[in-house]
Amino acid sequence: MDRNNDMLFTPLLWTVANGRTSPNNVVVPIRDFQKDRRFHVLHAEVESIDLDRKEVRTSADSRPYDILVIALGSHTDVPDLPGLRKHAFPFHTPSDALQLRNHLIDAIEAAHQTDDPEERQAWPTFVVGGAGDTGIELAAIIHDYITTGLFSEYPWLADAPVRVVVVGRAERVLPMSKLNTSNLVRQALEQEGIEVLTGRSITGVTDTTVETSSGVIPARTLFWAAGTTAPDVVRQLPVQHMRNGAVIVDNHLRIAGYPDVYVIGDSAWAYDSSTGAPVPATAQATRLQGDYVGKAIAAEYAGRPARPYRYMTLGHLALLGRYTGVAEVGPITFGGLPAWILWHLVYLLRNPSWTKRIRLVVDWLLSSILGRETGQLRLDTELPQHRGVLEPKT
Amino acid sequence: MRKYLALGAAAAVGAALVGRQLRRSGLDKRRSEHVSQTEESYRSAGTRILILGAGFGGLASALKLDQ
Repeated sequence: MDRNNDMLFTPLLWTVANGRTSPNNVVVPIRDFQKDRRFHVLHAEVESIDLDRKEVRTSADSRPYDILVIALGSHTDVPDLPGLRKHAFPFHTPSDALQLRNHLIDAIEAAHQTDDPEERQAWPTFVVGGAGDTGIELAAIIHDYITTGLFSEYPWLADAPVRVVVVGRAERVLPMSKLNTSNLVRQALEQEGIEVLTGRSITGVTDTTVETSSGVIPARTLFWAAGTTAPDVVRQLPVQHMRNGAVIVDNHLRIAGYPDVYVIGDSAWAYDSSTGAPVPATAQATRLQGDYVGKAIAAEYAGRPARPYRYMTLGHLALLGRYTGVAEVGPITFGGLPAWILWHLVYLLRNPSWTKRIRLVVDWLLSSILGRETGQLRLDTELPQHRGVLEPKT
Repeated sequence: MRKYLALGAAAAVGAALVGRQLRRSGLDKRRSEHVSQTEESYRSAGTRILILGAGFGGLASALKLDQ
């Protein structure tokens, strides 16, 4: 059951933001998966979950269950700091990616129009809050799109003082990664000309400034990429939660006291059963948890006990701009063009649809030959038709 | 030269027609095989497994169970 009838391939959102991919090609219709399968897809919004009555109330109807898997993801959590919720841009959906691109173009246009030297500096200054996976890739994509995508269309940009700043609270970027990966990412960002401020936090935002714990940055744009929160329907469950609303699960990814309810992905706070380390909130971890739960239910159904959950990472990939990235594969960490190529190959192969793979390759080849998309596409995400489908039936 | 262009165009049109026919036959096959799962069949199933969310995790669970 899902409120959308497509699966968003989140890791490829970067390539939408930097004008290399059409937004349609990062989503895969769920009905494509249903062909020749023995499961059914219900397009509906989850309204509440009653764990005791074993029933889920949805916009379509109420559905009883024997086994429940909660995989409802998360959304960006913007903290209640002065001006933050008003000014910060999130980055979580295709419309956020298009909004980012639109805003970068607007900012460059605004910088071109003003005669005030301070404003001319503030408009092309972009601050990213958060130095985790999303934050560093976001900063790299902003820098890449402006220097590679917009330079050809906006020749005055060559003299513009473009500035991209990443602000992270931890002492290093990617605090959940190995130290050498973290160092290599920082080095790659700084080589691109991106400022990395670690060990600092954002304390407030105004129309013209971003305030940090170590000073004020004159900037008109803040992108927020520091933390997620579980959806309300998960937060409202009468069970033990972490501060971000994620449900704390046992070493079989089940809720304590409810052995028929599994929680996976960003909605869950899980630990590796052998090391006790928390499982990171990444697409890779979510997919592996989904596989585990499928196997665990099948084992239980066959009368065999399921093994406790272990998180075995396959590696770590980050796209850091034009023909550069960082890859961590087992004990090896490397950067530059090989990491960039590996990033594209892995996400191409991970995409479950052959049609989309072909379209993605065509998009990437065309953008290399003909240049990036520099047109603005404005979207109204509150279409009345969409609301009508998900309205509760009375 | 014209002869080659005409041959190329004919081959492209032919390939498009064959592709269309293949897609149609695939669609007809799927139509005949597809059984809509009604609320009734869900409720009367022996074990009702409900997966909320069809992102990476939800779909991986469904596909693994289908295997």
